Amino acid sequence: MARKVNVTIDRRGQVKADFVGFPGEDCFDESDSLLRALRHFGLHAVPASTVRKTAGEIEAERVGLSGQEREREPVKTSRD
Amino acid sequence: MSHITTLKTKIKLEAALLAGRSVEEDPGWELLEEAMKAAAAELGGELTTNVRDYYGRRLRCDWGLATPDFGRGVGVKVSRTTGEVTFAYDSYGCDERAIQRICDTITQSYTTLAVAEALRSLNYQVDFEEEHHPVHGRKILVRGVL
Repeated sequence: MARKVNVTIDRRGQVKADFVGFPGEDCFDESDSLLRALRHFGLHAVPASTVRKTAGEIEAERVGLSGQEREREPVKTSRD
Repeated sequence: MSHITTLKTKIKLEAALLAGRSVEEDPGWELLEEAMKAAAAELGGELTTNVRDYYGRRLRCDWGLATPDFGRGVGVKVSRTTGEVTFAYDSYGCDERAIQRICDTITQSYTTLAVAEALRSLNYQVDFEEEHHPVHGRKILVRGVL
């Protein structure tokens, strides 16, 4: 599975980064690398919240379910 | 494991300063120039190097952006000693929403460019997608694939 980072930027410039397809704790190392790279390009970013994905969400990404389809997955609603 | 992280951000051009060079040599300087051009194009505005106050006096800045909604313009100033980026404007008697829209557009454009450059520097292939929401405004998705 390809490793991806999907970054959403809202109208105020606040950022949400979704790390997809990273094995183990690699996504946290990648997150640190991204923060360092952002700083180099003049964007100081401080994590406000971090949410680990459930096994069900990761599996859904692996088999390529869309966001809407994932919404319907029972494992997603049971996370909270 | 994978995760989603929400980030609070602030623009500050200090990489060059920390290396003993001038702020104009910072990798963010060109991005800021590009972000100003993008914001001007989006808002139908004009780029200048000064803005006006209520009395019509001119204030010099690194970039200024005057739009049809706010003709005095919003200035962007970069501190030569700290790299802090600030907006300068005189809002007296004006529609604050028009000013906020300019500041937000500049900030969002800069953030998008910085995220894209950061991902490229980590060897990601990058593409963009825009989403417009009637209440929450424009959201930009920057997709990086390794």
